[in-house]
Amino acid sequence: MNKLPVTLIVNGREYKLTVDANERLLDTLRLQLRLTGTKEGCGVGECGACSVILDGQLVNSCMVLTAQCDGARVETVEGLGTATKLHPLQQAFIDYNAVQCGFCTPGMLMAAKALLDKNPDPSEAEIRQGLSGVLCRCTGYKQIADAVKAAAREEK
Amino acid sequence: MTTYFAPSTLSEAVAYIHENQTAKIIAGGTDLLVKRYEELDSMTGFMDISHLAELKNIKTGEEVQIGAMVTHGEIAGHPWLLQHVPLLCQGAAAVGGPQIRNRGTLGGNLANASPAADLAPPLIVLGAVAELAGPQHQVPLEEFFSGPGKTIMQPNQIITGVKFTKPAANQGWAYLKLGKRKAMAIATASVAVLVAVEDGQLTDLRICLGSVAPVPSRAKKTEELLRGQRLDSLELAAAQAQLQAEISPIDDIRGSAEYRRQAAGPLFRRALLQAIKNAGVEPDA
Repeated sequence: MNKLPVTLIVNGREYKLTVDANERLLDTLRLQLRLTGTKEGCGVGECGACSVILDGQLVNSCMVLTAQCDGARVETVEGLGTATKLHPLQQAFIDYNAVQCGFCTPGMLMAAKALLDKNPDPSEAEIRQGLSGVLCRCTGYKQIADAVKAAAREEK
Repeated sequence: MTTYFAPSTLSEAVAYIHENQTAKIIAGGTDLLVKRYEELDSMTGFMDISHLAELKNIKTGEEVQIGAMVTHGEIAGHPWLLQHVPLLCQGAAAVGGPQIRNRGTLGGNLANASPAADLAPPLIVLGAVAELAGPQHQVPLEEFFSGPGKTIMQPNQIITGVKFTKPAANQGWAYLKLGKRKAMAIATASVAVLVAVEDGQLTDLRICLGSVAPVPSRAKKTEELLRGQRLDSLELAAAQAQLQAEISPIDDIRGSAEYRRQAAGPLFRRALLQAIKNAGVEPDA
């Protein structure tokens, strides 16, 4: 296998890595960096559980080769908040019961963060569109949309 | 051994793919990494063209040129295109979800050659020409697709962009997509319509449908039937029947052939009326 040197800046920290040519960003995050907050759901870009923010853009990390990301900045759910100091989105997800099984939550949080980074005061329709690439099979989407709206108010 | 190569210029890319025709060209990866999910471990190699700056331009004006590495998100949100070619922006906005639109590219959408490709019907009614490199070639997009997943491109060719003439002021447009849900759905049927209206007459029109034939296809007999008709006496029922007669849908996971044929009629009718309205005329029908 052709090994490639890749530098990634993940949640503000620089990593010098060696990756396979066919290695997905998702696998680099989970297996090399042990950042297992990012989940693999479908593996084919349908469910959005693996969503991360790559150079400011929301992407499915299962559909990006790490080799394509040399020098890129990656934000994952681990970079949002800490157990003692939650990000306003994380607190709002708790307050609005926007979590049930939790598997889609990292993807939902990153989709919400990408949305609020670009549009701090989104309408209901814009929130729904911003979250539309992530599937939730248990909570229902209303609580999640409400949580994002509340977090947007909080951050204002 | 899987290899990875990221050329820094188009000529480097052309030279590389000429020597390494089994390498898969990757950009956003949103189709390739789905199709090849099971084969990721046995791929020969990738050539990553997503960083080629010369394929990322949008040239505006009377002649519009869009580079192959422009993403769906960039098209959907481009201020000039939104004002002058909203039809294309609507096609781009219909692709997948935000994650897919941030990665997927115009070139990828066309090269992947899905009969359901959301950019193809709008671009075909706009009369777009696909531009290929190494051997250089220009081909009307209408003639670019040769079957599901197949194009007329040679293994050593790369799609570098599309160009088309900016629609005139008397032209109206619509793109409608029928899918299971708004986000992340692949079209069960889709239709783009571009009309030209003068003095209450439909002087010209182009209709292109997706997902109802092996390739995105013009409905030329329906166009012919409607061309020249007065807006106050459009033969809509006849046009709809003609359209349903000239498409060739198949049964698949997203819908049956019969359903597609049924649904394509009203979908087209709605698109046509919307297009006429967008040309600044209130249709009677």
